[in-house]
Amino acid sequence: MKRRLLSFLGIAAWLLFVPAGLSQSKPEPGQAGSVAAALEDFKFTKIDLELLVKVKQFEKYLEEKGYVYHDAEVIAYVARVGGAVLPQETPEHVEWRFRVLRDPMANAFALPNGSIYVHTGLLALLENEAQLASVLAHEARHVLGHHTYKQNRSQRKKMVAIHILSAAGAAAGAAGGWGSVASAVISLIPVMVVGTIYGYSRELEREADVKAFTALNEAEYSTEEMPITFQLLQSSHEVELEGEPIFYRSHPRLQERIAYITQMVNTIRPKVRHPMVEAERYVAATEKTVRYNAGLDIQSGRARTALAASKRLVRTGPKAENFLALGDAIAALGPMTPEPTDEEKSSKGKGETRKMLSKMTPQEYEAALWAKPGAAKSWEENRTKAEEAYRKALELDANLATAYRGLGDVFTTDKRPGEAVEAYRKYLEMAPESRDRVQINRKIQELEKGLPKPGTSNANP
Amino acid sequence: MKAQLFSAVLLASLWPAAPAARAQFEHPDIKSGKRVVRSAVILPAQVSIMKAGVKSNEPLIEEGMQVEAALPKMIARVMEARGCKVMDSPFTAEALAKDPELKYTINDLQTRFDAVGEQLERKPKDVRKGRFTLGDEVTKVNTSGAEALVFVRANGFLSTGGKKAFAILIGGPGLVEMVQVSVTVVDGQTGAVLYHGRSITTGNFVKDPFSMEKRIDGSFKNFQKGAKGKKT
Repeated sequence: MKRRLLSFLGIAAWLLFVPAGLSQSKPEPGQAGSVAAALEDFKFTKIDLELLVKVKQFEKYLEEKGYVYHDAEVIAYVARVGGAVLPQETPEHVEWRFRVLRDPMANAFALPNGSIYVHTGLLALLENEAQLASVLAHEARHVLGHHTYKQNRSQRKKMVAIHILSAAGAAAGAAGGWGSVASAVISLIPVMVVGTIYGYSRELEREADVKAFTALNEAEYSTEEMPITFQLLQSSHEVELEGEPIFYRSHPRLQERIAYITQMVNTIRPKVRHPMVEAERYVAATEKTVRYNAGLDIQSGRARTALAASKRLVRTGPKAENFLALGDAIAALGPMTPEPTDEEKSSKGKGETRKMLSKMTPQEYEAALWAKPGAAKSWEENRTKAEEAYRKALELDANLATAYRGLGDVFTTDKRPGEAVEAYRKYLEMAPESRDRVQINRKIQELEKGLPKPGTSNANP
Repeated sequence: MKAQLFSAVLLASLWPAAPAARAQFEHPDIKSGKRVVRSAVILPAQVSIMKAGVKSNEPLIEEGMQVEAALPKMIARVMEARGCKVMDSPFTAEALAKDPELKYTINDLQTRFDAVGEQLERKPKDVRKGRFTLGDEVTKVNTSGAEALVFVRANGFLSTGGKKAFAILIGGPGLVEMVQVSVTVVDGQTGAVLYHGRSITTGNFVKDPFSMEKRIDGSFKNFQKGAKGKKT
């Protein structure tokens, strides 16, 4: 439905712009050629102020619909890191605010009113504080450069945004419609804000990168981490059906960004001898969010990404909750291998996946995965490792009720109803008020139907 | 001229793809009357409205939220007229503000619905085969124990005066303002899609949101029809 609406709106908008575009050859203020001049002397127009009203409504929408992640500790941490790379003076119509969105896609964006949003998926991807600082510095430079207003004033950019809308619609469909804030709210956000989320023109992105580099250096963070951040954005544990990551479609190609930032790293001397990286502090501050995001990844059908994140969690902090996250991620793999196979990565494999995703419901897709050759073998390996991770979690914390739920799920998939019922019962006993208690009770009832009656032989070898 | 001609050809080619003004698709158990839905809870509606202007299209977020507030009342009246009691929503803005976890759970379920909704929109007739389900995850939000949950989606557009004049002069979309409302009734325990009704209302539905009610009512014509005369 979203895709249909998007195509319809895209076409409708395109029809509107064709005649309008033909008569608009005069460049708008703030277009790429006059960026530097506009930066010095930006005058707010009625259109800009109207945009601010829309942005406020958009933020209210994000909050009301449950996209904003409320974890005071991680928000305070992001705000502290962001604060370090902000200029001392606050520009007109800007109030700096840092917020986190529940979205497993690795992205961050800034609204022109100074609200900077970081997806949980990005926090899960980054490795240290300097990398986070580089992202926040980059986003803040979009605000300081009035990039959203400039994008809004440019008719040409709106056309670009419409193309991005169509592409994003297609990508959202390919991902099964899960997860991405951007895809969920895409039909609601002003066209000009699309650029805010999906990336500005190459010129504006480059400008933000270069100024972010300086801000990072000034704040005494390691600038060497900035190109590494781009490399991380390029990495993926999933089979990427899109050639280029959707959020960087109109950015300078990541390779190009890596190249010019690396050149800056090599030529510009760091402000201090030992610039900050702060990996440990970052891991400690984001650990809970990374775990939370692994759950979102699983819901989004990105179990491999969840697995990579939870393996890292276990490595850096061998705690019960982290083993639980690991167990959940391995169990969520189901019949899939932990890493994509060569067949999956081939163009034929990708084509098949695209076709399946476009024609199947999530349940049908999952059933199709189970029907593939080698599925049983993969599950055999996965369930053993998942069970091990859950047992380890319980060894470290016997009161971790959700580990029993995880075991129950593994036993259910593994057709071991007796053990599943026992694990689920234990879970309900320890967490009687859990939100999924009705669901678990239903599972128990279903499983009990398959259990042998007392006095009969075991029907489940 | 070329652009206008192209627009006209494109519009003409799109015309047959326009959805019917009303459509309804029932699960076989609902159609046969084997299954009767006696109680339901309506989840927060999700509405998207665009304002089509000559220069650009803009979303009407605030107006969308007004329609979101009005739709459940209309749907409740329509469903109650067919013997299904609509329970007070436990998902008020105040309740959700107090309980972010509940807000997240609803958001996740709405996303799950949209994932299934892709195929539901593509092949709505498959509701009649019992193809679609959200799974028993629905029980996480069904705290009141209702027999069904109701998902509401609406997408519409309004036009500025300039856009309407433009449409009259050169043709193309924008002359008729419209909204499509789809209402999907899902089993409150298993998540099976029991009923899917769609309606299109023309005119300024933001100024008069209740103009949608008659159309929605039409899209529920077959809901519980099979149960008539059967003891519920």
